[in-house]
Amino acid sequence: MSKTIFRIENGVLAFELVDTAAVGYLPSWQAPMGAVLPTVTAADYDTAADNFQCQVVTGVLQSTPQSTTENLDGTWCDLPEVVTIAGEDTFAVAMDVYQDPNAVGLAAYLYENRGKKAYAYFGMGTNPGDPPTAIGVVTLSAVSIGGGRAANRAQVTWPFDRAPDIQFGTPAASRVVFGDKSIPAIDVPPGLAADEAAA
Amino acid sequence: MIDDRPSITAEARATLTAALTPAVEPWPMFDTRPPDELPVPCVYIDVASRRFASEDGAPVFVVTFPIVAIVDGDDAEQSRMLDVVGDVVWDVVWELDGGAVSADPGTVDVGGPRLRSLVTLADVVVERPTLCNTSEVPES
Repeated sequence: MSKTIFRIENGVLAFELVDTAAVGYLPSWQAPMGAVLPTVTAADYDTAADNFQCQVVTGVLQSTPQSTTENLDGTWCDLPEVVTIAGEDTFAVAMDVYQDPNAVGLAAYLYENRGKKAYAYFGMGTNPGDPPTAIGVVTLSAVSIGGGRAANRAQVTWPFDRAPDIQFGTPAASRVVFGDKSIPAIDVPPGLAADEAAA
Repeated sequence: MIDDRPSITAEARATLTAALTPAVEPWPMFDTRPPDELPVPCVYIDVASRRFASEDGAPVFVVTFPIVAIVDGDDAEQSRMLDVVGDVVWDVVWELDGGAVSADPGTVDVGGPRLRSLVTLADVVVERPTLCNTSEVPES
């Protein structure tokens, strides 16, 4: 069986600030106006984010396992024991970007909106908008500015509030796995939207 | 078609030539080696090499231009003038996106005697690929 090599050739990064006053707003929304994968696109996000991906050297959807341990004392018939209790993974988008301290750009957008909740769209497919794609709500933070004569870069991480929805696969065959594990995953045949697939 | 393809290397050569031309005046500056007998003194840019490189983990495409400076006169005069023009070339290249890598002495056949030369290797970063796969990161 041949191996799979995954590379991002045309990534997409887009944001839209969360508007809790939006019509029908629900805290469970993962995208603007409650849009869902696979129908949501970068066009549903802030147009100020149109060129953000052009600054990105690497973008990673990070997953961090969470666990706690509990120490159980020994008894007359049992040795002391450490019990590991697994928790829900936490997720974040981590980016390595070229700095762009322009009037309009990623640095200015992030500084202006630092600390705010935003819907994030992170596309990793061969063509813009192709799966794999992840959407969810992140907390924005600013990027560093400065350095030396070299092309200055900055590293920034935006944590997801909750597990993102991810569309795995390719345009030919994909599968949307929702961050909310109570929602069953859906297989998306080519050309079929998520709501149709769910039906 | 090769004729229709925009060349980022040709563009970098033109930029380098434009930057060097006023700096080395009154010496003539050529974007390639002039045909036939070389006028001396002069500065010209020889055939470029290119490579893929990693700049602190980020992929970059680098073109290296050999900038050849030639001067006539006696041996001592050649050495002294190549010191001067070498500094000028080095400063110009330092201002570019990339920088001067090294400068080494050599000799050039100018169609008669072999004259001393100074070859400055200038690295020019012609492309920094990012996730949007465009040719160049906008300058801030």
